[in-house]
Amino acid sequence: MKRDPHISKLIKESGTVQAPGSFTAAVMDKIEAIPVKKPYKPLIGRGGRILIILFIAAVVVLSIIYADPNGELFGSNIRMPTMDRQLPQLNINLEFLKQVDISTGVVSALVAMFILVLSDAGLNRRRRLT
Amino acid sequence: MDVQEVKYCIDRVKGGDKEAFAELVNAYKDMVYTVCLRMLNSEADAEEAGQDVFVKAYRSIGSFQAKAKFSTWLYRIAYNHCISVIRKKVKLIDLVDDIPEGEVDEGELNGLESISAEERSKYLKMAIESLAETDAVVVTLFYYDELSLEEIAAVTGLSNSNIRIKLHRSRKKMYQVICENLKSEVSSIL
Repeated sequence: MKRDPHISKLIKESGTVQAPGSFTAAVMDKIEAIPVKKPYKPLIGRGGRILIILFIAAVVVLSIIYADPNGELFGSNIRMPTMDRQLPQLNINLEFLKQVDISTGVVSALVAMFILVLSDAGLNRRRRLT
Repeated sequence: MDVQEVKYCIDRVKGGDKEAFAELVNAYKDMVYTVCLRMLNSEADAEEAGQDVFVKAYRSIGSFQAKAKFSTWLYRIAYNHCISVIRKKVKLIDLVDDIPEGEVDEGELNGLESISAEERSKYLKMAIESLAETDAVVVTLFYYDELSLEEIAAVTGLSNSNIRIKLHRSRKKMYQVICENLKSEVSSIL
């Protein structure tokens, strides 16, 4: 659409209306008055999260390796996926683990902790992005 | 302030530099104030609204995408804020129906050349004040800031054809007001 030359000239010549002199200062005063949001600090640090995830992953892997052939985890009533026993056995003596009584409650706590760590990390990432 | 400077300022503001935002305010305050004044027709209201517009912009600058022009984004905030102010005051008047359909002789505007810039500015102010709030903003954005129809549509949320109609009718209305004032000026001199 073509601009009307008369109107264009008039408006360009008149320019914009000057804002009052104290305008910028007033805006900055209002901005200063905005309460500063506390930056979100995750409950568990990055290193802590990695350690917890590694620990949980290790527990899961060991649980699968050392589960009974019928799928019982350390004699508990928790059913674990069984693995082919032809896999090379570790030379590390982890027989003591079989004595550990891992109840359903402990596993639930581990899962809850895993979910907590993941959600904490996700929340932290979201806050950093916004 | 060119595009690169604006982008640099925005990045600094996003990084927490409030002084950079003051630079943006200085660069755009007159245009934002003009938009607010065109819509609210009150210097006090326009000043307050203009300040609120910048505070809103500061709060939401994190969501600003560099794909759009900063000025367009800012004017949209200003336009929407003024609309909400007007709605609160229950003062939204659409003068489109009052605009006469008769054509205006553009030649009559030649008389503008014989009067001072100050007088011309006064007539322009009167002509703009005769327009509906939204029309005055559309005219200002189109003629002063030279925004395209698409950009004005992005600011106002109006369709391109609606903006065309508003510009056409506003132009006729402004011509009419200016010509009437020029005629009365001439007759008073004679």
